[in-house]
Amino acid sequence: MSAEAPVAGSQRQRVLDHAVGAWSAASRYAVVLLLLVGIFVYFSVSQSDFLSQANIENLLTSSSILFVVSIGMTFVVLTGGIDLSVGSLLALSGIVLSTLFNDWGLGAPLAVVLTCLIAALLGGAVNGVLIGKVGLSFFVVTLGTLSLYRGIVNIWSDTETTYITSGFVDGIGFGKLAGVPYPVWIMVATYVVALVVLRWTYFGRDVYSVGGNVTAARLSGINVARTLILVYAISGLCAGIAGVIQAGRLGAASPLVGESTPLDAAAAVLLGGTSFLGGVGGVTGTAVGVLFIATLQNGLSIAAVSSFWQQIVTGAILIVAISIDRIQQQGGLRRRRDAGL
Amino acid sequence: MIDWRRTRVRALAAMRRLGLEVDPSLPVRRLRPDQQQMVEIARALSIDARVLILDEPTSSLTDDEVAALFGLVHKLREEGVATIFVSHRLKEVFDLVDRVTVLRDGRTVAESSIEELDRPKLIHLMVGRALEDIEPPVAQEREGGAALRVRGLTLPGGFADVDLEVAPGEIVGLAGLVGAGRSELLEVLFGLHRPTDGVVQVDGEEVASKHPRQSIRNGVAFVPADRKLQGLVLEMSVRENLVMASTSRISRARRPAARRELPIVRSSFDGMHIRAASPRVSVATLSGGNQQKVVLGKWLATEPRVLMLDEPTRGVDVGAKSEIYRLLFDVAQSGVGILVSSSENAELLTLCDRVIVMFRGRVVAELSRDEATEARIAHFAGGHR
Repeated sequence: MSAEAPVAGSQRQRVLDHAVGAWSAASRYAVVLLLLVGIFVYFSVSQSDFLSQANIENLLTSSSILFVVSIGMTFVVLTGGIDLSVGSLLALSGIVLSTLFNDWGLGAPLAVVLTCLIAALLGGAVNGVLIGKVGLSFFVVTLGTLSLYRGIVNIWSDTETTYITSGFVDGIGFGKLAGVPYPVWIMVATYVVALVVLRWTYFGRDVYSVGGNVTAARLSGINVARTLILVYAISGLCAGIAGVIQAGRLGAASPLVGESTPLDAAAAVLLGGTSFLGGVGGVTGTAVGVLFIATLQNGLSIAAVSSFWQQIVTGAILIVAISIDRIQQQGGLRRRRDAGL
Repeated sequence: MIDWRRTRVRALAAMRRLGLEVDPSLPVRRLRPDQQQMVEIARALSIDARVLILDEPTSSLTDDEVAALFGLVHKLREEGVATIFVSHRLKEVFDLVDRVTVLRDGRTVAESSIEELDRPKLIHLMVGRALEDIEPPVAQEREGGAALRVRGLTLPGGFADVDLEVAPGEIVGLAGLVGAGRSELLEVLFGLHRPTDGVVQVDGEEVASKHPRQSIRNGVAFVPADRKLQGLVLEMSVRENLVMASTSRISRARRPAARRELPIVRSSFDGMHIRAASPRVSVATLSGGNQQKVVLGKWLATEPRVLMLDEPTRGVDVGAKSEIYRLLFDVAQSGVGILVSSSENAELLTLCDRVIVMFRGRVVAELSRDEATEARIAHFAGGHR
């Protein structure tokens, strides 16, 4: 738009751009939100058991593990990466917890806190340093740690499940506060903290800057390496928390958990409108994405649809949702070009 | 199957037409920028095209190479090949072409044969009005040391043994062909690469910046050449972009507070006449000129002692261009040392108190405002003594 462009026209264009921009920010997950409401209503009407308190409680608690991992994954995707190691880290956290509690005899609360910190440390010091500081590709690094940690889990546990008999850990899986299960509290707390960090700290802004344009961010004095290290530490921390919830739900540390977690979490994040190129999206969309996947799977299970069909439906919806995102982005680009920019 | 022997013979023939003598089996990365450009032109010529499109082909070429290229284009014209020559170098346009089409803001504004045009007429068509002369402020007596002093700075593959000085309030230009080492020099001064040798002083204090964060702390600012790839995060708002560099030192756990950021936003909007509906709109919705002002505003907000700019008005319309020039004069008046690198010699003549010319990584000339002319800059930039 040149300086000589007619004022009225450019003004209208700008107001339009502004409105379109505001709409497209919310609309990144609006489609999935509508779908979520749609299938929720559909299952409520068609399946008499769906809306029971027990089922809703079950739906939320069983989605809490994926939810917490996906919140951490959102930070990584916002920087333009993906953390494939979260599933292995989740399983490893269970083993670490059982070792600290059973073998070392630490108190359960201390063991839980240490487990989460170790997971965060592994995420930040291995994935984060290799990606942020050494400059390796996130795909290569997290694919490597996916396999590495899974191998450690299998050797350490001898592929056996170890029981954790602790009232505290059981409570994390099944206890309730004010009538609401602890896993649901944990998931709400994770969401709120993540939202605050992303929206109301300079670190949160750095995450978006690094994902949006890493060169501009670096030239503006932003510490890109530190941002990436912290982002992968957050992803590791969330995997650790999820591992503790998982151990609580099972009452044991199983080496088999978390095999499909990285892909499920990535699907939830992308469904929630966070761009896999980075720089655009947020945890609210991810929350909607996880709840959508959980509701779909829960409803289809009640309707006795096989889990194989559930996979097909989830995959198809993911592709459709990403296509819509893509079309919207191209639309935005065209609008910009039309405005002569 | 690929016949490698014949490929080599054909490559040699294509290069010989342009007077280019390099080993065809060398990776192109190892050639000089001007040789790389010649390879690209040779490739375009080698397919025996009926229509040849040359888009700013001469920006990294020396005079001799330009002459060789033009000779070839003249020969091709006799053979019946049509050539479209895209350029903003008016001298070359008058030297080479038969007909001119002038584009402005994406529209054709004129089509005519070259005989009907002269230089002022063509400029008028290109910019939409006669280019007003911007009077630089009267140079004042400067006391004290240099804002920036560079001695013997060397980056292998980039430049060697560079000395330069920028006084507070002075605007110094860096001229030279594309690939002469100007961008690399600015990048080293901003801490993006480590030099192997040399000393850099800011305000008399020796600095050895390892990364941009440190340079910002040292009072150095850098407006990069490509605002979309290096200057802005296009997904973010005008406000977030404006404060990005000046808040990069604040604790990352802190909240982006309006009381810290709004003054920066307000002074940028008022001081530079940024035309945007609000600071909240995405910076991608702004015009090129306004985006460039946002990049400039971002760096002025860091209150630098030395401001470096690479191609400060590339892709910017004329109105915004003169606004940016005026702004730079004001910034210089306030005592900041400014180092501008540009491929447009006219821009350097307008802006600079002194022009330093580089050729193949070395400083080859230093011209005061009185000595500098476009022809003289081009002469030294082309490697002549």
